[in-house]
Amino acid sequence: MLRREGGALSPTPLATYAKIGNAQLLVCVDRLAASLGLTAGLPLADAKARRPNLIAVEADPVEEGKLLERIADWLQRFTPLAALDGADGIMLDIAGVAHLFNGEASLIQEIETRLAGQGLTARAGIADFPRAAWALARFAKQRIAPADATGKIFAQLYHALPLAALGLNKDVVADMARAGLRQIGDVALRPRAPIAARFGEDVIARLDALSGLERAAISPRFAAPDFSAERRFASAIQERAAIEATLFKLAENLAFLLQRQAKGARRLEFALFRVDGAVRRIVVGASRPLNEPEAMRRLFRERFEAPETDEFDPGYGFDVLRLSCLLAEPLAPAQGDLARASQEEKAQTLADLLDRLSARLGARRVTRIDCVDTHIPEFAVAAIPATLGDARRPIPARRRAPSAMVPLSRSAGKEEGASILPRAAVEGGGGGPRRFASPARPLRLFERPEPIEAIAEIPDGPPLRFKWRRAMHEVAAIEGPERIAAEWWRRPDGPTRDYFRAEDTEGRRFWLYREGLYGREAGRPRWYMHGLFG
Amino acid sequence: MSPGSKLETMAHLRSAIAGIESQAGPRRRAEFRLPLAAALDGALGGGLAGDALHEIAPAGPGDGAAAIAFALCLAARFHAASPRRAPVLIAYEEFCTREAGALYGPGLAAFGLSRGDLVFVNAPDGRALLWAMEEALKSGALAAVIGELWSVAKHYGLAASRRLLLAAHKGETPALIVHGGLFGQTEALSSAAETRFEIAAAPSRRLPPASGNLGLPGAPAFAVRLVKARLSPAAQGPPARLFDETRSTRLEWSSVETSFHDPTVSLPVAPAPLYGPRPRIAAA
Repeated sequence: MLRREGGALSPTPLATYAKIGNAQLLVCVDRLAASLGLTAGLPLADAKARRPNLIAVEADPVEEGKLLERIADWLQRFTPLAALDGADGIMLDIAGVAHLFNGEASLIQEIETRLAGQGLTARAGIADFPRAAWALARFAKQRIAPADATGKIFAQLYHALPLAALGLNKDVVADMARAGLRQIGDVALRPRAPIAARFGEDVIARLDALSGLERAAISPRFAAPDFSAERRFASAIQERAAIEATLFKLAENLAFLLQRQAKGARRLEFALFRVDGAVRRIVVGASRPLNEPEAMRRLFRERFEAPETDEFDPGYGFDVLRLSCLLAEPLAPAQGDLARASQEEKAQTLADLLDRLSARLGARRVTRIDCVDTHIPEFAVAAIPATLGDARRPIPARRRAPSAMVPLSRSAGKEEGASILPRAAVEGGGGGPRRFASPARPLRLFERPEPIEAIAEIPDGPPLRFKWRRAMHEVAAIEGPERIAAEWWRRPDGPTRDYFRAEDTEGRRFWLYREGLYGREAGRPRWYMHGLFG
Repeated sequence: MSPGSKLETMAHLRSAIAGIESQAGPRRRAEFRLPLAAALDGALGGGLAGDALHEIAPAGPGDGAAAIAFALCLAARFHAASPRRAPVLIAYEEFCTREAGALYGPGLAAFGLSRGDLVFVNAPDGRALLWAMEEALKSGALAAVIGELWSVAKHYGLAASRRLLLAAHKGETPALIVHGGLFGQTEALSSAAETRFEIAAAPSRRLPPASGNLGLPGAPAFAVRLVKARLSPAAQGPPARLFDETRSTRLEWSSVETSFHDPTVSLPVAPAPLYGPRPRIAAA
């Protein structure tokens, strides 16, 4: 548990203020200001009058939130389960961790000293339950509750705390104060029903959370990894060779942990904790469950060597390195089949290659293609990261739109929403008996169709010549139109496109379309170049 | 037994077998040459080598699509010939997609490459592209590696092409590099590539129209000019030029057969000067 109270300890008092209601009130004061009698909630003018040397800064909740997140990340060096708690606190789950730091008292001390070294004032408290720890850190003198505090010990710890320690809102606390209830003990020792009836169920629930009768969970910023290995250094290391050597050692430890459960890592995270509080996280993915330290090291090396990365700025050095496996999958035991061994080996080399390429260039740059069920050409294809595995899988059901493909028959006619195919497309399609011929699609597709000037004999006929990128092209052969109607179930008023496959006199083949049906959708149809054929 | 040690055992056994076989004469995939078309195979020494670097450049600014299409035809043939139908990797410089449009999946099917057989690598610049190609070639897990390079002058030369060639030798994988941004300078380029083609689009054989007076475009056709071909070591005798670099051959692609049509046989009309007669020199 941690409470941030403003900037560094300085010889002049420091406070932040914010406009609350119609007044400028102090929201945070530092230790010096607090010792001079300034408190949060005091009007800024009063504070200035009392202490003319007070430095008041306007509070910036966004920046403060970011700082708190950074601190929470840094605190993961103590435990993987760190969660933000409101705007001014961090909750750590230290179950099974404290003994690594010689007990709870020295853990608290280490956290507070290290944060003080970064210029932050913090107060920590430890208890069995989150709400109890919250109350102790903020309001109690004795900040470490013994394990299983019940009965007399519980009363001793909590009953003297003010009601605000329950985390109730101000109005309820004021109401209760008017009724003469000021301390937790005042409520805890009274019958529950009347309290609940008068001040709401919430008061009782909060009281129960203190003693663990009501469960309260924390939501950590990162899930705790199933497997992780880490190394701490007494003095920070800076050299890359040393870091890589450590990484390899950690990979060996991790591989051992994974092997015991017959698992392999699909996603790995290497976290580097810098001494000044910055945390670098490098995540790499593998397309097959990895269990070899060498392969793990190779993946990270690609990331270290990637040209535009500045992830590897050691600054003052790193003192904790942690390698965790974010996603583990069962590793299929190797088959003893000699005939299939070379095939498996080949699939493995391909997977390793894709991992290396993805690690260096980024997973978005190494892709396979997947088809999407739509007729709009630019949306018909999706690129999926190659590390996810083979593209040969069924299209997800939610993407299925009503299919507008029609069989090639006379009855197809000129229905809107239908894809009307000319004869040549059938011949070009080839590939055995199929019910539907797939129309010809270009080799290259422009991301944005480029407007062209085209001349056609009749307004809704095929083009005779067109001008694209300042060059005139004479059409020598043409196929079309292939009519692709807008998807009325998504956008009601999209224009229809008539696609033509045109070949010019030099043999270059283009895919162009006319937007809008002449006379119905557009007075003067516009032409676009959408792709090129090989 | 861990998979790692198993791989080692496999590699050990394999090298032992290779040692035995080397006595009886090597039979490696590297020896594989892919027949292209009767008109060109003579000059190529029987076909395109399966472990070398081949360069493809467009003849003019409008022939970029034809050049990449020709590379895809070659890749499709290598893919069909590879024993387990290994996938094909296509790497391209990001600038190419901005300039000439992105490669479009459904359109690639026309070359006999289905979407499951393809892996795309979008490289931010020429250096990353060459690195990715080299890694892919070395792995030996692919049927072919295509690279579309735009910044030829900046990143490509004798050293870079030599690296690719060595990687292709090592992985026994053919490398096809398409010089998207280079036209009209194919003779000036110096590189370690084994062959170099200059590709222009050629008018296709028209299909009779259903209506109107313009025909329908037919199967893709290329005017292929072989600019460079290293003599294969098998070709003995005086250093005679096996090809005429001023002559362009017309090739037509058939996606159904995954092969080029022999132009002299299939053409229904009398051969125009462009198409030329059968090659003068037979296969060595």
